[in-house]
Parts: sequence; C-alpha cells; structure tokens
Amino acid sequence: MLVGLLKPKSGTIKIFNELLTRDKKQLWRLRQKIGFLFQNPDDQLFAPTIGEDVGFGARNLGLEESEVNKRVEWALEAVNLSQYAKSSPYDLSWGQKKRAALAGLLVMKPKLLILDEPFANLDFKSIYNHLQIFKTLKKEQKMTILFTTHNLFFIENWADKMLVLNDGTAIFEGLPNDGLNHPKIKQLLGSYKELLTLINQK
Amino acid sequence: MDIELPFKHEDEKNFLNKIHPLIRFILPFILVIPFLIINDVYLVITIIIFVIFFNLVSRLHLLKIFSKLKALIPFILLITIFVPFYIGNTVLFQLNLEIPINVYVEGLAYALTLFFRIIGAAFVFLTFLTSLTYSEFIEALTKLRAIPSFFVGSIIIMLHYIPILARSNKKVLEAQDLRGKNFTSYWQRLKTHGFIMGKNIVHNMERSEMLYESLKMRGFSGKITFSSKKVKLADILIVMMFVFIMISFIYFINLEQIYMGVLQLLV
Repeated sequence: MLVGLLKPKSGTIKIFNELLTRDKKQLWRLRQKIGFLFQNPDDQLFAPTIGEDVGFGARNLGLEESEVNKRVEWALEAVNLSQYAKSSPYDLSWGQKKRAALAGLLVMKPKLLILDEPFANLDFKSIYNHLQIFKTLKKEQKMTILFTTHNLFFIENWADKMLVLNDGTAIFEGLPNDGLNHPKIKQLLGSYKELLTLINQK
Repeated sequence: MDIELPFKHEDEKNFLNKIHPLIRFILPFILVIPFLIINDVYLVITIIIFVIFFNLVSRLHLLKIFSKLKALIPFILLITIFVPFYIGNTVLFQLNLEIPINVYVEGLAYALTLFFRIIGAAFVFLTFLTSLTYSEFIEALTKLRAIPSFFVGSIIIMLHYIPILARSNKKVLEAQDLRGKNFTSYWQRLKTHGFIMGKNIVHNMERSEMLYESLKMRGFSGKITFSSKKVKLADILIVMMFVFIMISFIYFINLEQIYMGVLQLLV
C-alpha cells in the first residue's frame, strides 16, 4: 500500500509528507524514493544478465548511459556482486539473487527501503552478509529500512521500532522490547523461551 | 537447468559475438524465406549443408541442435505423412486394405520436399538462435523496430519464467512420485496431472503479477530498455554476403546438375 501497489479499503496514506492519491506521476515520484524488495528474488530479476537487470531502474529514470553504468557498478559493489555483472540470474544462488535484486533497487538511490522477509531461506553466512549490507546502507547512504519478518530474533536485535499487524490491523506500535514482552503479542507470536523449553524437553 | 532456452551461455564467447545480434537474428530469415517460397528440394539440401558447415566453423553445439530438432520430427511427420495419399495423379502403388488406398508419386515428392523444408527451416532457426546469448536475443528484438516494445517486454518476461516454471513443475512431479503417484491407476494419475496443471496456472498468474509489480516499482511503462551496441558496416556486409550467396544458389548455380553429377560419381 505504501508504494501504491494495493489500494486501501479505507483511510488515507501519508508518505514523505504527501497524501497518496494514486496519481500516476505522484506514484512514479514516490517510487523513485522507495525501494521495495520482494521476498522471492525470481519475482524481481527478469533480465538476461545481472548487470542489465540492475541497470533497468536507472535507465527508467532517464539517466545518461555513463551515469547508469556508474550506478550499476556502485550498486553491485555495495552488494558484493561486482564479478557477476555478466552472469545470468540462473547461475546465482538464492542469497546472491536476493543481493542482485537489492542492487536493482539501490541504483535508483531510494530514501526508504522496504524489505519483505529479507532473511527468509538464508543460511547464517548469507544473513550476516545481508545484515552487513543493510547496516552500511543505513549508515552511509542514510537509508531508512522497513522490514517485515516473522523472526523475533531480528525484531529484538536489529529493529528500532516495531509494528505488529494481525488480520490487517495494527495491534502494537512501539519499542521492540516493550512489544515482545506484551502478553497479547507473546500469545500471538510466541517467544524464544517457550521454543527453547520445547527443544530442551527430553 | 532442466529445460534450457535455445541460447548460448552468457560466458560462452567466440568470433560470432563480433557480429551484431540483430544481424544474427535476421540471417536465418534470409536463408529460409527463399526455400519456403521456391519448391526446390536441391536448394533446401544445399542450405542445410551450408548451415551445417556454418555450425562447424562457428563451433556451435550441433548435437544439441539435433537433439532439439528430434523433438519436432513427430509433428512434422504428422503434417507430411498423409500428403502422398491425396495429392497427385500417377499411382506409385496401392495399399490393399478394406478400401484400396493409392500412394501418388507427386504426393510423395511433395511430402518429402515439405518435410525437408520444415525441418530445414527449424534447423536454420535453431542454429542461429543458439549462436545468440539470451541478452543478445533480447537486444536483437529491441533493435528490430518492427516488433512493438510491449511485445518484446512480454517475450522477455515469458522467457524468464520458462526455466523457473519447468523446474518448479519438475519438483511438484517428483514430490508426487515420492508419494507413490506411479503406483495408482491411470485415471488417478491423470487427475494428479490435472491438479498440477491447475496449480501451476494459478501460481504462474500470481508470479507474473508479482514480476509486473516489481517492474512497475522500478519505472516500467511498457518499454524495456537495455544497453545496446551499434550496427557496423561489417555487419551490413555480412548480410549482403548472405543475400549474394542465396541469389547465387537460386539463379546462377545449377544445383540439380551438381547433385546429379555427384550422384553419378558415387554410383
């Protein structure tokens, strides 16, 4: 809804101090500021090579070819995939595809990154690589990161703020610590302690 | 990848890469159109030999092309096999079934030419497609102004999903196999295939919608632009050379005489 892909059934959306009207020009202006990373990278990568795919958004911005190439180089370097510019998406692992899809958003230099389950189906090494990239982007590019997850670990250890949605309704908004200790949220999402107790039961 | 698109791998480079992709895309049309218009079996055979030679010189995967071509043979046979029964006047022989069926000389000759023409056309197109990488193929399509950009966009998205869907389809079938799909009755298996197909259609629609949304997020407005090379004078010369070769085969060289001469020598 934030990026105008879905229509709200009721209410209004205000983003970057602008009321979302779903006007085409406004949507395109906003989408230049927002990067949306899909959970499945195969839903995002479509071009024959990674370099072409990453450059797609930058070309749509109407940038000069030299600037597009510069941005593609930078984005691929930011996600540690410089050597894969000429590779086909089919040759990449899941984690690499996810990073390539992220590079496709970075070329547009968004202010806000929305990540849909960014750590799903990744091993610890890949999660580490991804986290490192997100931290750098936050620190050096001053990007705001909004991510959705079912994994309490990332909420507890990485998020600054937490919003819990249940059946399309926001049931909590506040600090992760407060949220995770809230009885209603605990009942809804479960807790680490319960999980550990179950694992340790003989 | 289980189902491969008929393109070269992106890293696989040879001297052909120096020829502009658009030219490599146009060349099969130059070779195929004449023998589809002119009913001359010698011309078809000559072009097939010429393309085999081209395959060998360009070090393309001739065996891979043949294996892809093999899959087309039943369809081509289906088109041609009945032709000798109803075209022509000169009876070659008669099949004495309950109703006598004539096999005509003209029909047989026409069926053979048709078979060679279709298989030859498929062979030429497959050869030139395998000389392109996927990105070169798209570059050729986008450069060809006769094709509308929305159509090119649709082709790109479609091609992107073929291997992905084939893989997911295979996984579903494997999962069904593990749960004993092959030990049930024929009808049950048919029903299972029906379910898989139905699931795939819905799944594919969802995925294409997701891809479209992701493209829209990155400014897609119906036209897909990639970086592209320019067509050089050398590329145009190659097209001219192919046109010249074709004109020579059609007008200046008596192919029938050459083949008969070779046959006489062999016999």
